[in-house]
Amino acid sequence: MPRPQRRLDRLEVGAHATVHEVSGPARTRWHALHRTTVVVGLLAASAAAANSDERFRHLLSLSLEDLMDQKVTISTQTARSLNNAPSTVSVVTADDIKATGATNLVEVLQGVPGIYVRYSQFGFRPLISFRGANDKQTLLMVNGAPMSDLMWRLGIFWKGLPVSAIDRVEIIRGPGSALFGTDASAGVINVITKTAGKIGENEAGLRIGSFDTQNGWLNYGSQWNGFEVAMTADLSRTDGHDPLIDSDAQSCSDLAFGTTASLAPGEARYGWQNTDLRFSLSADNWRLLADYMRHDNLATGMTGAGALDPVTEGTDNRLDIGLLYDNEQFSADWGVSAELRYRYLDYTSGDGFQEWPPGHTDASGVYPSGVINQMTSAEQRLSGEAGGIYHGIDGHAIRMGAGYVWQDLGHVEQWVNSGVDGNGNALPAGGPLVDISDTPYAFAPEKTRHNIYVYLQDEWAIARDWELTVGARYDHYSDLAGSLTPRLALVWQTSEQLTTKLLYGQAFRAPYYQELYAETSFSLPNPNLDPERSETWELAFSYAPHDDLHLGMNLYRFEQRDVISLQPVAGQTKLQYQNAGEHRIHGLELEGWWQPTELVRLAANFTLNDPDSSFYREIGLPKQQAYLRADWQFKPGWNWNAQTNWVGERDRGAGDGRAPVEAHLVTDSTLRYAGIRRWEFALSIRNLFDVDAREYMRSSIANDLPLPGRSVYAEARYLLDN
Amino acid sequence: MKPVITRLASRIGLCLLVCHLPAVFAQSPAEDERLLKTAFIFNFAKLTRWPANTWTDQAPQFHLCTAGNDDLVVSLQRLGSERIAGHPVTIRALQAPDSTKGCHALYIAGSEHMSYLQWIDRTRSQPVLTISEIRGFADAAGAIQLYRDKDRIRFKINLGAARDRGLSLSARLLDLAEIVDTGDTR
Repeated sequence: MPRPQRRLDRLEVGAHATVHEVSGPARTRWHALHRTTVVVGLLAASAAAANSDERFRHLLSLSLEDLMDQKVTISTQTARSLNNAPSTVSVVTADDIKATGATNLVEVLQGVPGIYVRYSQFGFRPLISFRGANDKQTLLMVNGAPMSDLMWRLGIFWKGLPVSAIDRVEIIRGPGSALFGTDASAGVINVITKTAGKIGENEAGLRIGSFDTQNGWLNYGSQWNGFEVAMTADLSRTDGHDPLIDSDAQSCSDLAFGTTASLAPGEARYGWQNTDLRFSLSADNWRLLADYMRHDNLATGMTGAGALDPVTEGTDNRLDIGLLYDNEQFSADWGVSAELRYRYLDYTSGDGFQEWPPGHTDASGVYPSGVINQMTSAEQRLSGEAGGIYHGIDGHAIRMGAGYVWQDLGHVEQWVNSGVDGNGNALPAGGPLVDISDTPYAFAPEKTRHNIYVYLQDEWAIARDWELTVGARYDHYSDLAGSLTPRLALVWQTSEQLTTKLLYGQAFRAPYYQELYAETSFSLPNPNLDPERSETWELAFSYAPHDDLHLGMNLYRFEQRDVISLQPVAGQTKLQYQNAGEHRIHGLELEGWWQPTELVRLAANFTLNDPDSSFYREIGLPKQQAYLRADWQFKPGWNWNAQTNWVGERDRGAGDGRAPVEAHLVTDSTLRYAGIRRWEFALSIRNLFDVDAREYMRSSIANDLPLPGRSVYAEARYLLDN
Repeated sequence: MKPVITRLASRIGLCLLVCHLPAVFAQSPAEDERLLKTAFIFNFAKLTRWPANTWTDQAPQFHLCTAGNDDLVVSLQRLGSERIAGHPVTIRALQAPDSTKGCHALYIAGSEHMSYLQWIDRTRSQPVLTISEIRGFADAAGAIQLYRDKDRIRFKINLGAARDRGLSLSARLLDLAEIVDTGDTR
């Protein structure tokens, strides 16, 4: 029997809740960002234990009539602790995800205020942006472990995560570097998977749908020799929505060279196969996690430079193993946690990448078989951290921790038929593939990065209804300048219904190897880069006039310095990464949910970003976004969900004469029925009105990237015997 | 590409050894609302009569079962040292699709809001008092639904659901409840 976990009841699903399922030191840090049950709970726990027993005896002695006269003064601890959190937090639970019919993490994130998920033409790769900043300012973690690799952010073939293994997703808008280090500039996402002790019901599921999509999954939890054990497996395949590309980068090249090599108009193929296996074991304060993720036959559709590539079918593997210890009551005054994690990942481009199609011509001549760039690489990451929380000083909760990360890029192999050979000599156009592995001209160096960090934070109850959180983290890198990132949060419980917060935080982003050391089809590296830095001020209001209505408003100012940007370099056709300048974004987020009747629930949010017009702003993100969601349990066992996402127009960069990308409104609807023994069924229609929605693309892809049209998915789940 | 099902079957070993151990319940911070609701549930049980042959000398326990997870499930553990109608209370945590056989009362947690009908269905023709906070519970043939009305706790009773299971609720309990009777019980 799994250990009972705090779960949300229907009132809270989809809106907000407390967050405390991260494990190990990451859990300690996560708590620190939104001080929840740890502070409220632990400080009060021992004193309250005796009182609550007394109180309970008293309640049991009362008559039912007297009980009905008892006043309930707080709505729930969950809501209270979230409102008081020293940051802006949203939580999406598994039930919430299920209701919307979302199948991938990135679909879930689309409904969160401040987040925009933009798709790249390369592999239809989802790039997650917060508050108008580029996707590199987002930290994504799974069970507290960052997903980032050294080269490509979230893995070169990143495709999001299947939802069947997700227990909840916790999102913090705003900086988190003071606790989590690099990347946590504009927002932090932590995905908590269904690990040991969290699988309430063993379940097998199947889903089929448009684009020849098939998906099967299994969630299984039990006990074994005194351990809680859990296993989740999710396998899927799809042909992808294969949008028609009217004109690609080769079309532009054809115009310049008078050739007809372009494969446009043609379909960008985005099919892929996914394997996601997760195993976990827990006992007492210990937890062992082992996750394996694999993509097969992943068609990248187009290259980074924007040419149709029907050849590439990539493969990658990723293994994460973590041993976590977490003891909130280590002694009277101390809670401690520790973790040791290991990651291995590798990838290969297979017969691709076909950077340019057959017939491509450049200054060095014609490439009858196209320009081919075959890449293989692997990475390892080993990290350890120990942390603690000290309650020995009245009114304070002091968190501290230190950690070490070792990251190594290796097995870099590359074959090319353009550019230079292993000796640096120019390759003639039309020649055979040449092995440049283990030479200085391979796409990335086999380098190791070390990162050591310490953090300290104090949460101080300065007065009744006032709390101040002050903290900082220092990161030392073997190949970069160090970074000190402080934060401050002042939370004022203005009234029983209203919470006001003033938040300040600095953050940094360590440049990736791609920016530091690796040449790509469109960029040159720069080994002298410094970390990007940012600073955020935020004023937040959370207002809950009664249990069934919650409103929130956030005003923020996000400022980036030393922005790493592609800049022209004399004598080079490709642009080079440089710490180029500054950039500011002001913004506003409004959100609310309302439960007008027992069975109906409405949620909505609106986001407004106002970036300055600097060269360093991220092009292709909307300045305005709105989201509306309705859930209706119209009969017992039935749930109907509709959600609609409005994305405002996206303007172009300077010198791009095309009209802005048009705004679009995409609506999804899902019907779910759980009234038959052990069975649950759902039918989901995505982009119900078949709207022609497009993603901004550079001018080489003149008509931008069409997003999926109407698609239909049917799903069945079956509860299994234990 | 191999079909998904074949891959699913080939890549997953299902042979995990299973043995049931007593549940270890995490201590939750005391909270008035949960204690209050726990006291309500205790009173519901005290004011309900089960069929005559329900308890025997060999099986004198009152089985209060729970399904799913929420804070109240943790709080209900406190009733483990109480007696109801003279019977010592035993708390039993069920996991789908466990049988509800032997349960006298079943608390269905908020986590089960999509599958609570299946739990109600499992209690069919058994003398089990079903209790939940899930909205729509009483309308959907659950016996007692707890809810909040502003700053007070209230409850709804589906009379048919209780009677069909051979349970008799005291007039005092019914007086204080909002009665719903769908006539369509499961």
